[in-house]
Amino acid sequence: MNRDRIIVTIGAALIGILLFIIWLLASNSFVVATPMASVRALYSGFTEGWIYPHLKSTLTVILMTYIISLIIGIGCGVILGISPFLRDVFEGMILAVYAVPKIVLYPIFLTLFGIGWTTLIVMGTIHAVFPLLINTMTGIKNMSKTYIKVGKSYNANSFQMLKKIYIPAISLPLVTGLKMACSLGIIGVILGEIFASKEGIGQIIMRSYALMELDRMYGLILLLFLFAFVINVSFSRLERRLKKVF
Amino acid sequence: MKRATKVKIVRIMVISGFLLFLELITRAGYVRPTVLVPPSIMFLTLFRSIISGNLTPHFVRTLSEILFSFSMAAMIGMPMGIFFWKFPKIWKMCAVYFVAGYAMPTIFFYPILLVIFGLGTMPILVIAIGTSILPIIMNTAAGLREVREVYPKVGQTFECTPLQMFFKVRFPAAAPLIFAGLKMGFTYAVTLCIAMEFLNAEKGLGFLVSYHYFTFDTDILYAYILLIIIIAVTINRILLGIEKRVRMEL
Repeated sequence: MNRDRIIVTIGAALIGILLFIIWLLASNSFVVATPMASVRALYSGFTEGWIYPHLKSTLTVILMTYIISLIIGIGCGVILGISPFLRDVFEGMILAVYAVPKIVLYPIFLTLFGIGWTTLIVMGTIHAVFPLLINTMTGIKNMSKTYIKVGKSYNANSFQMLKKIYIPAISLPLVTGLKMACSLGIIGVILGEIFASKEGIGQIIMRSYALMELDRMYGLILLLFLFAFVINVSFSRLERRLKKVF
Repeated sequence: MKRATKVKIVRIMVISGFLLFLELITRAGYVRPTVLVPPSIMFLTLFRSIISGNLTPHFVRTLSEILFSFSMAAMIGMPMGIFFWKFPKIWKMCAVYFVAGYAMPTIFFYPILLVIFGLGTMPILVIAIGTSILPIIMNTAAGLREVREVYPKVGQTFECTPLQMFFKVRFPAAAPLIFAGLKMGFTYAVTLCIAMEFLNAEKGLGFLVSYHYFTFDTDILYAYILLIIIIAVTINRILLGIEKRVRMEL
């Protein structure tokens, strides 16, 4: 068992090294910056400080997007989960809207809200809210009716029902929803920054592409991937732990 | 009244109420026509541009991109899923990268691909295939892994050959999960093709939306957004219908 784990870890590390070597070989051509130059360009962002205002803007918008999506997504999800009638009415519509490529809606938000944080938050939220809503809704739909009966027999009020019965019962689909909302929210915000912002990581990626500062562009994309990687892996850990509990 | 009809009536009321609300606020002048177009005009403009045939080449282009990238993803992804199921150790080694790549913003590879391939279909196809292949691989491997022990045992008592075992027993048993992966892959292909066209292309439905946004043709812009929504919803409906049938047959 332990030996298998060591083999797997070594294998995973080797694949990582292989990917790095592929990048290194690809950077012989002039369209790909070397890994070292990319990291150096990214590092200069922190030492010279040009990255901080953009990082601050992007992180603030992502955080606000996430909070708003949480409130709307879980709120609507709980309502639709509890009421079978409303769910029957809206479920099909929600699944359909979820499948629409949200980027084509960006012009609408741009004309409605102009350039700025509001637009970015709306763009991020429309990406992030659906997985949360759908997972909360189906989680409550599929949960065992016994839990609800137990809560009712203890005379729990609706807030207690939510806190003590519904949320713990659906914690597994909820964490999956939170994970998806986070990665989709990041995509939504960064894509939005390309069109609807004067600052932010997405904006400087496009700017360095336009100026052909490739090392900076690759460095920033690397930063973005590391950010998504860390968040995704920690959510997956949480998911796995919850799976063991249930 | 039966509950199903009640649901249908309320659903129609919600949708038509929403459209009516948009129609009213735009007609009454609460919202400028440069910002929002009345839905009736959206439908009319869309109808007109379909009839005039201006839309056809873009529609064909987008559709062929979607179908090509999905079929490539399915043809490469399913064998890869089978491979990873056969060799669980290799799967475990790669798992970190797949799980990480799964929810990662693959669309941000697009400036890189733009630098490598230049404008055109190549970056679109690479991103669409690369993203839609992930759920297909993961669900194929997971579906085959989670086949209940009883089924292969039944196959053994009938002395199935390895090929029969795979095609008659394991694969059908894993079909629902595999199909869920294919469905997700198709949705990803649709979304990413249109999104990538929006970002950088010279043809296609996504391109039309971004083009008319930058030329401020609000009427046509909304008509095309509406068209994309209709297409996405229709595809979603069809896939859900097929999925229901796959589930029923098992």
